[in-house]
Amino acid sequence: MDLQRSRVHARTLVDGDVSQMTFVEPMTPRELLELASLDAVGLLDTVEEAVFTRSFHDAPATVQDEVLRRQAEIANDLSLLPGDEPDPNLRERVLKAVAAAVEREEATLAPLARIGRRRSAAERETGSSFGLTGSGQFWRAASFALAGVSLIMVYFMAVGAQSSRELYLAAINDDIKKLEVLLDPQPAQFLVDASQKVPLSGIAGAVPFKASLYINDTSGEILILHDLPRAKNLEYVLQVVGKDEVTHKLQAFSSSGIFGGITVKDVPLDLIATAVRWQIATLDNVVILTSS
Amino acid sequence: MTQHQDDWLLMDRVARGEEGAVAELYDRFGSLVFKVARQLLPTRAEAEDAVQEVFVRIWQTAARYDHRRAKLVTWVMLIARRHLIDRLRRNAVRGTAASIRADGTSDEGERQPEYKPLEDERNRSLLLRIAELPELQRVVIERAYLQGFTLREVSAQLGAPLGTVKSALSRGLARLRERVRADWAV
Repeated sequence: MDLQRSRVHARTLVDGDVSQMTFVEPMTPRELLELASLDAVGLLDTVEEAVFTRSFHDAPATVQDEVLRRQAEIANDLSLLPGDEPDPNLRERVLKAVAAAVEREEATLAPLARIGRRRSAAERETGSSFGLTGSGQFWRAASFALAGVSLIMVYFMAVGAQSSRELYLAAINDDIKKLEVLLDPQPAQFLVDASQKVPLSGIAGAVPFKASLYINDTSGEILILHDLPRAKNLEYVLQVVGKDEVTHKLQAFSSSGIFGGITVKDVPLDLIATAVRWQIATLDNVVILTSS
Repeated sequence: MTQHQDDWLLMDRVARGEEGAVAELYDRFGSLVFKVARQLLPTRAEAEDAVQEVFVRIWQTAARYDHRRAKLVTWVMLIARRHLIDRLRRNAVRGTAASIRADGTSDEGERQPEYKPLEDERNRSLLLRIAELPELQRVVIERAYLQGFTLREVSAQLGAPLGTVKSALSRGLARLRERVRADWAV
């Protein structure tokens, strides 16, 4: 196996040689820089790309900056590309193709969630957006809810639940009895007993990560399900803003970079009762996710 | 606001399906995506179809864009290249072992009929420069970079260790860029 051999040989690197660069262990900064070009043109395989990404996040900021710079230079380099220019009408065709894809997605979601109203012809005429006006907003909300469900399912699979398919169906159908049967006791407790389910989203919609809080306001326990990125020295803090606008930090946690769940215990019940907003911030107090 | 933050916000708008955001994205990267499509696909019509598919793919994945992991141009071009390579594989258009001679033509006996190097001054210059590279670098660039074979496939075809293939590609691309840039700087 190449990967096994490379585990042994990965450190036999000689100057300028990437001949042993198949990694299952973190890459050094020099290895990252050597492979930056192959990563930029999509020529690393799945495993290598994952290791590259993990190592990139662990690398010093100066190395990260250099990798980003090199990759952008390669991506933007016209010297290896033909001089042909696209036909001017291609722009219109691209916009129409994306618009059609957006419409198709809405049509696909519609039977799943018959909520919202149809856009009038006038709205469709004047709308500057491809979609997501009128009923589209509801589909988006439905999508978010489904995304939340998928987060839950990943978490439950991770803790050893029995059948992801059955769980998925039970979750999307809000079949609490079925969930009680299928789930391990502890996570089931959160789903079944959670008195609040709070979705968190990016500030100004700019953060491409999500989290949901399942809050039990009688036991003072909170389950955080999230897909926050893993980054060296970057920990997150769950915090709550009370009526007096005072922010209370509840618990710091880190992320493995994949969907995950963290339990927070012994949260004062009065904080839960008087919470105005729930937030996830970085350790340097930048709020990245918040409830509405 | 930094360029990173601008890009992040732009991709958020793209993810929401905002027409203006997709138009802005196309205005920034449409030409670049078309050029790489033109390089990899045999006809202009196929390249134009592929550009549309690439932008749909970008819309589908826009929410996953992480500006800390890659600059937007890198990310867009990565999606473009992956999509184009998938398309090449689907259509079985790629040559099995096309070989470029020093005059920039391809080896008729080894490639599939659909493989036609683009008749373009820049591309001809590129092919000439590729033909001048050391044998291993030349073959690896042709097969992995231009024809969409994975590095593992190239490694198996050549009977060369994967690491050697990677090394050859990395060095070959760097050398190629250096030479082609020098050509066009004159």
